[in-house]
Amino acid sequence: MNTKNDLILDINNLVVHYETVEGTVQAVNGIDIQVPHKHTLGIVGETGAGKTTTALSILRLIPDPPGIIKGGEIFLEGEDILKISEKKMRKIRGRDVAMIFQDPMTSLNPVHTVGAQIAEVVQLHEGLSRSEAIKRAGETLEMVGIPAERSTEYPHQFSGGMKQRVIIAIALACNPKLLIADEPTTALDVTIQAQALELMKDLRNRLGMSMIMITHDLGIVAEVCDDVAVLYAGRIVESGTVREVFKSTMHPYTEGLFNSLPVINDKGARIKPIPGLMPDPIELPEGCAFHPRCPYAFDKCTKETPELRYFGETHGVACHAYDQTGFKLKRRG
Amino acid sequence: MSKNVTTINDTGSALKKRKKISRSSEIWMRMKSKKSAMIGLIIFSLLILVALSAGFLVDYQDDVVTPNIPERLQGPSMEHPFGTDSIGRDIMSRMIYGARISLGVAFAAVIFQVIVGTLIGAISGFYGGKVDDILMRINDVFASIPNLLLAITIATALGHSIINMIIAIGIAGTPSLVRIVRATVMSVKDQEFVEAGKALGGNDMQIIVSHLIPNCIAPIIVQGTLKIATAILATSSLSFLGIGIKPPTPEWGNMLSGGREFLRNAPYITVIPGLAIVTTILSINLMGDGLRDALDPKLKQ
Amino acid sequence: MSRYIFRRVLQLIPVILGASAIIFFILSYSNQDPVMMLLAGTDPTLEQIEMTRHQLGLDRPIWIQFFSYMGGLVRGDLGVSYSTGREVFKEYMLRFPATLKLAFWALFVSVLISIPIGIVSAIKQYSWFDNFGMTFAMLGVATPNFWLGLMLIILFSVQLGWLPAGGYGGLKFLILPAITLGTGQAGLATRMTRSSMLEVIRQDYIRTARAKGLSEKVVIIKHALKNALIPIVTVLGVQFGHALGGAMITETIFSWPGVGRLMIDGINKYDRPVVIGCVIMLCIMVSVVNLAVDILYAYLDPRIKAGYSK
Repeated sequence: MNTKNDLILDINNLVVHYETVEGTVQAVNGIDIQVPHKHTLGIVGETGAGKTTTALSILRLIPDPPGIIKGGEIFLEGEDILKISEKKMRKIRGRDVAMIFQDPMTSLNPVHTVGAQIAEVVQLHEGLSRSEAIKRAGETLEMVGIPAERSTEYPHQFSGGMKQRVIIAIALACNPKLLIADEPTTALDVTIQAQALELMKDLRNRLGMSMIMITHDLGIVAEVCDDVAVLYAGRIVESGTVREVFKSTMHPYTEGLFNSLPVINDKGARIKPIPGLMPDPIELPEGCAFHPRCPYAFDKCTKETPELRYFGETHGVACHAYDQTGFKLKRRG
Repeated sequence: MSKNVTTINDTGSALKKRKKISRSSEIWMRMKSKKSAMIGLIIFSLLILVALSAGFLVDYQDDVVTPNIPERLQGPSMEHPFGTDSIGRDIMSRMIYGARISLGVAFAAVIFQVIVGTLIGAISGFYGGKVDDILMRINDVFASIPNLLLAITIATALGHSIINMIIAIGIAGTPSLVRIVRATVMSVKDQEFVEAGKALGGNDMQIIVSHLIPNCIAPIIVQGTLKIATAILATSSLSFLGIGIKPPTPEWGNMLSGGREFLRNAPYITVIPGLAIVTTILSINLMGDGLRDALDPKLKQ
Repeated sequence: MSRYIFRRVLQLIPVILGASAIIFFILSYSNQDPVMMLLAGTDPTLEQIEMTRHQLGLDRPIWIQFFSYMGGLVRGDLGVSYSTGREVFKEYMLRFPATLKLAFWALFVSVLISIPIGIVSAIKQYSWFDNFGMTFAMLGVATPNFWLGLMLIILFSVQLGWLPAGGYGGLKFLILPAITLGTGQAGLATRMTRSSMLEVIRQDYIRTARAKGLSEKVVIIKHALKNALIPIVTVLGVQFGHALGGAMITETIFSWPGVGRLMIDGINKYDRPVVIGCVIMLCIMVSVVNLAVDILYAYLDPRIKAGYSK
């Protein structure tokens, strides 16, 4: 276990709801996340599992209304950012914590030059003059592999992959301590995806940042992350080091995720998708939210919500099945 | 397992049935849930009721047009709730008849716009090419002249009768409707059901009438409703300027204009018809906005 | 860019010619005889009537009249007023400064009201302020100019005696007409500002801007407003163009000596050259403002600018 001082980010029991006319969307229901310095955490889950909501909570950018952080603590280097003023929070955004958003096509402001959009954040946080900030913007662009001359161009003059590089440049311009990447490659072509990922990995190592990589792609997790947390219906169902979660998978949902992947080496193997759909977050099922889709579910799963239990130092699983001695997932059996 | 299948089938057919129970009741439900739209609808319905029953409520000769000099410029009282005008006629009676004129002219003008606009828009959108080019150029030229000015010019040329007002305001408001119908027709004309209609050997007119125009009904209803407001405003503006309906025929705009010389001593002559116009237009706009949201929930913010 | 402007100016010509032709024929169809209007009250002889008709060129066939008018128009000649005998263009230019002044200040009033209310209403959607702002906008759209003007006169001129009820002169003459015209315009502009801002503040790039740590003020003004401006500028442009063509009603109520009154007088006297001249000038004004607005788009949105140079 890491001591508190080693952690850049420590989230305890975070609960986030969206209160809409149709009902209360229970997006995040008590999440604990720890990210040590210079570590990369992968957050994995299907669309609607609460990944983006968790990320936005760290920046306190949940759209309000309808989003409300109902409870929990988010410590950033020991300070609970849910308790500080908005003014102080603004100093953290973009400087200590930066975010890369999902869709590069829509995440850049179409009416400002890319240089201006990078310079803006440097000027704001580092007190540079306009001309110094523009110079820094050029350097940052070079860092992500775009010639500095292109800083006077507008987003529509860039391709999708290039736009994502610009977004990475904006995020990294102030050397943040923590970088949150929300499905940074989903909207890109496969070939560009690999490039963008390689770039992010490289920069993370060079700048010594911590990172949270949100994705539904287990391949990316294996390649980039140290630790991983699997999210289902706003809860962490399994967490641990990448090795633990990948090699000794314990949660039925994680197993389902792996079984949904095509296996290249074994052409005979069939993909086994998880039956059913993610539950409607307005009406989550009683007990374990996964039980309607779980092949191992029994009585208790429909009544009690399982807590995260640790098997070993870092490997946590929230599943009642382990009440039964000797329980093993089929995959491991 | 078999039990599961039946439930799914049940919900499936129930859904289908519910869909059949109709779009119109669904639209009505959506409309009903919006308070402002309902307020608009109620006020507007009351106004129409007043306009329709004007003949029963007041006597046109005695109450509305015949001067009664001894009782001129009396402020609101029990006998004359809205007071009397400069030649002693009861303003309330004139307002009631005025509703009939203002709403009648507006409705007729909008019906004109809808018929002409739908026809031209549908033909233009359906045929495309040269026909579309020519019709749209002409339409653009008409559209380039501001509505009120076009209406004024036409009304001047034709003279000041109610029929001419209807034509003037009708023509002036048509170009924008043509555009809307044309755009809608163009967006649906290549869809499969139109192709199917063609394949079944329907002639152009049949396809336009039975396939294309029904698809334009929602935008036409919304635009038509909002255009009633514009038409009322145009009628009263023209009458205010002395180019529209002339006294003694009571029309809200000319009544209001008639009070201009008495702003100091009898402001109510001007205030009351204006309030009626504002209320009417407000109710129509509230209703129209509600209709638009109800007919096209996608557009709703 | 300059090629784009040139092309646009060329496109204007058929529209202006077409609009003039429509107005020409509509007014020619009139069953009112301008000659009789002109000689009204003089008890003219038949000879006098025929002579006047000949002088005005109205004894020629309508097509000849049309082509001779259009011929003059192409040379920049708007003809001569039937009623005053003066050149229409000179008459128009005499009145234009008053109209320009009114249109400009009305735009000022409209912008001052609509943009702040629209922005705050969008940011605080469904709040009490939003309700207030939208009620104001609905009323603005629903209130006829002529009534609003008269109500302002009743309040500020008749009751309070603060401002003149009409006439032309310094600032105090300008206030009521500018508010009348501007408030009417502001209704639509407020709604447009709100809906455009609502659209923009949901965009991903606004979230990007917030994630940079920018203050809400900077996010709204620098990142949102500039993106939201195009539809707002369009509405304001159309309104300004129409006001430049003469705000007939406002000018009539406040006895403002602008081109709107010139037009109304012309209509009342069946003075065809004056009316057509005013309509042509109005089309030109509207088109010039539209063009200016289109050019403004290029400065607001680089994508549009790129489209122009293609």
